[in-house]
Amino acid sequence: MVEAIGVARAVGGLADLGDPTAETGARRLVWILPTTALGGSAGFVGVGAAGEGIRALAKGMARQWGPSCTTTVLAVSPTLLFDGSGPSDEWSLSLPALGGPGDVTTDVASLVDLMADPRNRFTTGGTLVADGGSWLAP
Amino acid sequence: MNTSTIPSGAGLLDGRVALITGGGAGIGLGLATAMARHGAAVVLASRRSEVGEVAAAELRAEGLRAFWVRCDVTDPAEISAVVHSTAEDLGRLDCLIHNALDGSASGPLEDATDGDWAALAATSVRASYDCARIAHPHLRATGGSLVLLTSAAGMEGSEVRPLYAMAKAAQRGFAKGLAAEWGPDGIRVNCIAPVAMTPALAGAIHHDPSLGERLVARTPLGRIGDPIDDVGPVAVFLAGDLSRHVTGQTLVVDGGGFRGL
Repeated sequence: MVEAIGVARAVGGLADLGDPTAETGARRLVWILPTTALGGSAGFVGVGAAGEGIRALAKGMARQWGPSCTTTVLAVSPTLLFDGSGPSDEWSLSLPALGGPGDVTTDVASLVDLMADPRNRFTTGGTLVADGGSWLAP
Repeated sequence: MNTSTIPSGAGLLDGRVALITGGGAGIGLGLATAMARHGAAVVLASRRSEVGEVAAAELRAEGLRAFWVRCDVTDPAEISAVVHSTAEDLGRLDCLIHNALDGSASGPLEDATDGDWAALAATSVRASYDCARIAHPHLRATGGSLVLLTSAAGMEGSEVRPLYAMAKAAQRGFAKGLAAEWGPDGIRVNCIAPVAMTPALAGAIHHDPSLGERLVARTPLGRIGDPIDDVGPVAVFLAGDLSRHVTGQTLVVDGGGFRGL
C-alpha cells in the first residue's frame, strides 16, 4: 500500500535525522507532497491517506521540536510528481490561476531554497501550496 | 413542490443495520446506542466479550436491537466474518463505523518504537482499508455510509502524540479519496472527530485533573461532550437520509474547541 510505503518512509526519514533537539540552529525539514493530500482523489486513496498522515506528522514534529528544527510541507501539483497515470487536479473547475502546475526546477526548487534559508526561522508545521493557484481553500 | 424524503422525529434509522467496530465501550458504544435508539439494529464488534456482550445485553434490555460479535480489526478475516455475518443475519448493511483503535503511545517521536506505530497503523489505517474494501459490496447494495472516527489531532498535529495524529490524519485522507471514488456507487464516506467523556478520557483526567480543566477551557460550549447524547446524533445523521448529499467531510464534534477547518 502507498500508505505503508509513504508513512514508513516518513518515519524512517525522521529517524535518519538523528536527534533534532540535540543541537540548535537552522535545521529545516521540507516535505514535498501532492495536493492530493488536501482534497483526495478517486483511484488514489492511498496517496491521499499517506499525504494527510505526513502533514499531521509534520505538525506534530513542529510542536515537539520547536526552533531546533522547523518543518514545512510544500504541496505541489500531482502532475509534477506522477506521470500521466497519477492523480490530477480534478477538484478544480478552473485553470490554475497562474496558468499551469509550474516547473520543478524553476518554480518548486526555488521554494525549497526559500524554506531552507536560515532567515526562514518563523515558519513551522504549515503547508505551503505551490500549485500555480489551483487549490485555494484554507 | 416538496420532494423531500427526509423523515422527521425519532426513528431516523428504522430498518437500517449498522456495524460499529470498537462498539463495546466508549465512543463506539455511544454511537451505537444513539443509532439503536433511532431504530437501527446495531452490531457491536469488539475484542472482549466481557465488555461487548454486556453492552449489547444492556441495549437489548432497553428494547433495542443490539448484538455483539467478536472482532479483532487487525485480522482481515475477522472483519470479513463480522461484515458478512451482519449482512446475512440482519439482511443488509447500511452503515459501517470504524472506531476501534489500539495505540496510546505518547512522548518524543525519537522514543517511539516500531511496535507503537505498528499497533496504531494496524488498527487505524490498515483496518480502515480492510473495513472499506470488505464492506463495499454491501454498502453499494444499500446506498450506504462509511464513517471513520478521526481526531482534531489529525488536523492540528499533536506534540504529545504525533504518531496518533498521523494515523488519524491518514484516515481522514483516506476518507476524502474514497468519497470521490465511491460517490458513483452511491456510498458516502465521512469522518467524525469527537471529544467526549469516555472511560479512557475519564481515567486520563483522574490522573491529571488539569487535563479536564484545559479541555473545558478551550471549549466554547463549556463542557466535555457525552458519547451518546452529543456525539451519537452525528452518527445518526451520517448514517441516515438527512446526510444523503454529504460526503468526504469531517464533522468535528467537540463543543467548538477545534475550529480550524
